[in-house]
Amino acid sequence: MFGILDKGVLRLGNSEIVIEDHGSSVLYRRIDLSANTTVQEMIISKNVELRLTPIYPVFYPRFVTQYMLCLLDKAITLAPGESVDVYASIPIDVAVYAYTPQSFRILDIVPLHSEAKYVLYGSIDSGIVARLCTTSIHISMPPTRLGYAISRLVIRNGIGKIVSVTRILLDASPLRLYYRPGTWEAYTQTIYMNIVSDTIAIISYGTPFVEGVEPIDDPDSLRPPRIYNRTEMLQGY
Amino acid sequence: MLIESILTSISSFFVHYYKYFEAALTIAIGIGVAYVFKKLLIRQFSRIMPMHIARIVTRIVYYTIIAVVILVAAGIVGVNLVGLLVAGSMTSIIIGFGLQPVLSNLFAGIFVISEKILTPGDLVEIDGDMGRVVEVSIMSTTIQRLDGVFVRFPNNKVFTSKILNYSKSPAIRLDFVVSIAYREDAEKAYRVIEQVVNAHPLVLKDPPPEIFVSNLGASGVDILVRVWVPTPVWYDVKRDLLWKIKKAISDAGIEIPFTQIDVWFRNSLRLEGLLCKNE
Repeated sequence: MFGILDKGVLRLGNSEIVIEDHGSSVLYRRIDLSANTTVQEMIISKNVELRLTPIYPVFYPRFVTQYMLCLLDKAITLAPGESVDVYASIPIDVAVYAYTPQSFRILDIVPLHSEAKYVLYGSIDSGIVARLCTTSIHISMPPTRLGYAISRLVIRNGIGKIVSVTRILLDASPLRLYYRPGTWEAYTQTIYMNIVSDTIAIISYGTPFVEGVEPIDDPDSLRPPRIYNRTEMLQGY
Repeated sequence: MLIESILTSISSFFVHYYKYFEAALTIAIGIGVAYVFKKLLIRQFSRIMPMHIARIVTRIVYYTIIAVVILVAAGIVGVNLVGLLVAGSMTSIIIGFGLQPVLSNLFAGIFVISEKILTPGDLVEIDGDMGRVVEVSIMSTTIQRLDGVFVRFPNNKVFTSKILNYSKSPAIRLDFVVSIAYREDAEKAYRVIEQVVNAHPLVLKDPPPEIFVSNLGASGVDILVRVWVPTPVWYDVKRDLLWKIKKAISDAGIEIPFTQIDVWFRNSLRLEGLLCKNE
């Protein structure tokens, strides 16, 4: 479960985390069960607290981009001027954080979706590389499960014609992840998508829509400055 | 009488030295104007070019104004400007010839920096040398080649060379040619390659990979594999993917041909005789 990681064995998808106590330190191992090999092994001193939290799926297999292109499993069609309020299950991975009272650091990323792929959003000259995420859309809030964060998605059609939305570009820097300790529940804040032209939509990031959840500590590569708390989809939605 | 003579001498002093006061005043005002101009220019230039370039350009303008002011002041005090200009022109020509390489590098540097042709961190190929840009200074550009060696190019060389900048695009295309023997099943090879390409996480799904027979070669069928990859990881993917394709092709029992030449002899060879002679 998210929260403090105690010694013992924990299975996460195709991975198994083993933490062995060796007196003055602990031995951390992550085993890939599909290949039956240890893929990560490290010694951690005793006063470091290990914590499991959700993490954006942009760190596995390596950090290439902070953008995620979420392909919706069903298109959302909106009449002019109308808006819809739906929920989306966005794929996430799990991070193992090391905490001391003064600092924190990501020690390991446990991939929960082994088939990571990237796409180019836009053209070769001005597009951006984004992690491809298949996202399921729900009318009501779906049950939470390991490997997915629930997002509340408010889409507004601001133009005078019918539009269909099939994808959403999210930026992991302004996007926040929240978790409920002791469960596998993970959430984002409310995401607003405002369609402003035939090809342009503005994504903005609101506040959390569930209570009693804790935000994750963003890794260095995604830290602010969050000067513009929005993402512009300039090449179609 | 005394007062009159004092006034006369004062007035003659002013008449005599008036031009020097005028020249001094001109220089003082000129320096003030140049200073204000310098402040205004640096504010404007710093918006459109890097600060160190803005400083250099502003300094050039500042000293040019000062030089003009000094020439005007010299004219006021009666210095023969024609002679000075002739001497100055000759000196300028001599200095100009001497500093030609330096000045050409300087102006090329201003152009390279202001046009943002290269920025530190870019992966580029300049004049056949490939590496990452370490520094773009006013006189030269330094890259660190992929083998770790630092190469410094004078800016006029950069300016006149063909530059390939791989970092300007978010993704670049890699091409591989995989050759299979004529007797092998090309469709099977296609499927094997497609599987490897699709399984590689850093090969972009969109633009989609292209795999097709590109040539019926002398020794085998050439299959061209075109994939798009994120620019920062192109080298890693290139190294990894070709190896994985080769391994998958070999594991599938598909023969990768080597160049073969069949030599036909018009008359039959009598090898036995040759062998006996050698023995």
